[in-house]
Amino acid sequence: MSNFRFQALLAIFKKEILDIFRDKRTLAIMILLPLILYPVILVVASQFSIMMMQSREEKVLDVAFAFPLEPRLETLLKEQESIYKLNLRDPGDPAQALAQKEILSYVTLEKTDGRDSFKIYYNSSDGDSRTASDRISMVLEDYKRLLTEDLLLKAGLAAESVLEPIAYQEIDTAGDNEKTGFFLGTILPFLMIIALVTGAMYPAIDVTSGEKERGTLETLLTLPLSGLELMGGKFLAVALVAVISALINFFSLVLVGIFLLRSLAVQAGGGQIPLQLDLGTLILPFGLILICILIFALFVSALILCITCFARSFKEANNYLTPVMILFMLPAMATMIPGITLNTKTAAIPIVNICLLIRDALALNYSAVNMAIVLLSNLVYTIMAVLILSKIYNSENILFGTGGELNLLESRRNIITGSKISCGDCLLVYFAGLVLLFYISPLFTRKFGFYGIALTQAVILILPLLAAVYLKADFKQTFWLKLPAIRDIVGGLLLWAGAFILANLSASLLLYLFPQNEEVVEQLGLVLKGDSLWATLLVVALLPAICEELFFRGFIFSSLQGSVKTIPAIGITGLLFAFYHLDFIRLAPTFILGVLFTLALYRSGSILVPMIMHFANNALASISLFYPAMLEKINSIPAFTGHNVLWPAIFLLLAALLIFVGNRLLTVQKAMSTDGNK
Amino acid sequence: MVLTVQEISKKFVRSVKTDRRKREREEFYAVNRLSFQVEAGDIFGVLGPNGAGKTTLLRMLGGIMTPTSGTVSLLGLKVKDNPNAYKRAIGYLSGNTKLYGRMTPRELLTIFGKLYSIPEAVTKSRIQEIITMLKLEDFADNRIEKLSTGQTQRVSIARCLIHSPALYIFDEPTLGLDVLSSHAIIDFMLKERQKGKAVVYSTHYMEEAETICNKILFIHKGVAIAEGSPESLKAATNTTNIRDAFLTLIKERGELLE
Repeated sequence: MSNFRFQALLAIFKKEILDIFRDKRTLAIMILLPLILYPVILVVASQFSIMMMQSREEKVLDVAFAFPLEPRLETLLKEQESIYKLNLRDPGDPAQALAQKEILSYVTLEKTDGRDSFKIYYNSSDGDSRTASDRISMVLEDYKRLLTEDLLLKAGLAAESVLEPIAYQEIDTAGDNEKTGFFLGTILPFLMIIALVTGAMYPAIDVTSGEKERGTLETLLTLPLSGLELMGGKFLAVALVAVISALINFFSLVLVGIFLLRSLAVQAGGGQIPLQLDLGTLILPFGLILICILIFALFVSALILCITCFARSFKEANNYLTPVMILFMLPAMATMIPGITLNTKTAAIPIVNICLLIRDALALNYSAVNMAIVLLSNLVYTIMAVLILSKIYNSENILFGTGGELNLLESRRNIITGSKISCGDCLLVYFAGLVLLFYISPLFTRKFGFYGIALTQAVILILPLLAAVYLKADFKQTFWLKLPAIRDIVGGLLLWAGAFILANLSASLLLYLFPQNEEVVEQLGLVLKGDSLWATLLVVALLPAICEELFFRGFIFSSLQGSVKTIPAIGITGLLFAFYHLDFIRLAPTFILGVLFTLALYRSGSILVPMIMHFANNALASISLFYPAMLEKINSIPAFTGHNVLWPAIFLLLAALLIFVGNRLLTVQKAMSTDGNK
Repeated sequence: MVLTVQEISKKFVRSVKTDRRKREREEFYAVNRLSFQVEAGDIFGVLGPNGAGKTTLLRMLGGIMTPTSGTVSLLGLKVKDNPNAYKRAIGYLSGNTKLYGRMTPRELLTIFGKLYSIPEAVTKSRIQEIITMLKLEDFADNRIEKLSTGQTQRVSIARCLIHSPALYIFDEPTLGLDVLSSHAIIDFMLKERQKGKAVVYSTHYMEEAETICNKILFIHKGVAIAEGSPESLKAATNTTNIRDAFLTLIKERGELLE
């Protein structure tokens, strides 16, 4: 990458754009489809639902009252026949009649504690049956009211004032802007994400596996191009197409949305009230959404390219992208779950963060810090993905190799025994794990409380083990199963001490730059605190030390090592470890810890060394939960609060010294053991 | 010396079923320790049957595949040290180097000129020159997907000489072409030789190679069998044509199929 030529990148970009835009299929999918699709869906859906509702309302439904009718109830049913629209029938066995759909619902009567107690039987899977049961409830409700009024009359009371001593009315004060925003905010992000992904999919396949299938890739490789020039150009072209298609989708959707709201307003207001939309206040949120679309288009394009470049043909690329589409859709539904809001935690989760930001923007609700985190984290993901891309697309395996880099999608019969796990497989397992954790971990904690953490850890352990078994990997090699020397352990612990100081310093710096609610930090501690110190040590310190180390240092680092140089592999492992914690404030500290754990593993060659380091780190945190005074002391010494500079500087030096000495101890060990290893 | 190849090898891994449920990796050499030199004005023929390792060898010479071991240097420049500078001096053409169908020849050449970092004005006059030389006038502004096989092949040649390379690497350039089209390519190679360019060219049409090559390398199963001028090869094997020379050499090694 020494002499990167931007001109070459631009030339590739131009070539791809020319190629994509001359394909009529792309243009049709990109421009015509969204323009036609949404209005058509809207018209068809609304017509259909109106039709269904009308027919259901008009229909007279067959029901049975499985008891002799009391005279007042009978009169009620007769008098209000045109409102209830019920046809009373008398089958021998109502339960069977309901099962055979001869009647749609029936009522039974029992006497409990001297009161009449009715039971309405219906079948919730049948729409008509639900309506029938609703109508019967209406009848019984009216009957109840009738009886109450009778009783009150007998007691000499005025029914109206007893039953309804007060009166109230709901009046919605939300302006049309907010209503529009809320409506769009729930549905728009999801549709936008899908539009962006589909928009990026076709060009991404075209510029990667398309080149392979049409046989132009080898032509391209005869050119003096670096991976970054090549993939950078392709990436920008895909991103541009994705943005254009997303914009078209966006405007088509907004138009449909405005039309829909207007027709709703017309219905509600009897055709008189025009929709009061003040375009001025919508300029800011729309501008923000445009930025979101841009940034997200970059991210989506890079991610999809990472996947399609492994495919050898259009068909294979399509197969790879189907599960990816689902992977995108799940987090995109986050906006439809009311409890999830944009905070420093969710702002770092890809896809979810963009959706939430769009929703917030439309509800005219902004937070600069969160916005910055969302945009920044997406940029970081994109740059990472492009760098990975530029490394892998040039590699011979993808070009001429017979076996795909994604062995997990390969049938197990064809996998070579004892082979190394590829970079693609590793990333696939990682992202699958990330998505799984995002959904499973809160579920476990809600259901099993503190011990839910243990279950989450089990998932982290099982995932790489299953993958390793499927890929027929050499367990000893993949998971670095080797006993360390005492010297390694001492070196590792020194390294950890340095890492701990650095991590605390960086955390305090981040907290200083992005002030966070103290309660959030404290709450995190409460979740991690178990019944006793020993339980906490087991669940919070020992289990993560084993499970997370086997996953990150064992599985991920081993597989990365095969495709990337050692130093980038250590860095990427640290980054993946940091992002796995799904918290912006802990990003820097976990990154530092992750990198140094990986370094210790690389130097010592034994998984036990980072396990011990990880245990020491988490154990200290667990113990301090039970002795808060100690926690305060430990955290406050090497903390940066903006006033003191001297102490942090001294601790920084100390950390550097510890890391240096620890690393030296490990280095010597490595030099001695290399011959033995190979 | 234009091209110096020293002891290059390429190792591939394939998976072999060892028993019912086990698959193991097996390494094999597609190209095994080949060494030779190509001088300016040479048409160097790499001959061998299908699967001999011709394409792998030429891909390594073209800088699009990295040798497992050995060195390739062009005008003193090693491919390992600076693959991009190396590729600038090479025009590579094979059955797998197809063209972008949705572009016109002129657009394609313009973009390739940019990718080779040639100044725009130079590219423009160079394209005009090439169009006249290869007689592309009639279809220079038609989409490539609309062209005939012969026309496409001429555009492919134009594509690999836009940056006036010192060495051409042609992998079976006449495969599947009619008499006229393959004549155009052979004619092109002969003309470039006169300009002092070198050509490394592979084929399994032995007669074609005999008429134009001044040096021939026989390879079989990745190993060099013989190297020399067509005359010396015929003399050494006591045969009258290159085809018989090759068959005799294979027979001597006891590796003839059948």
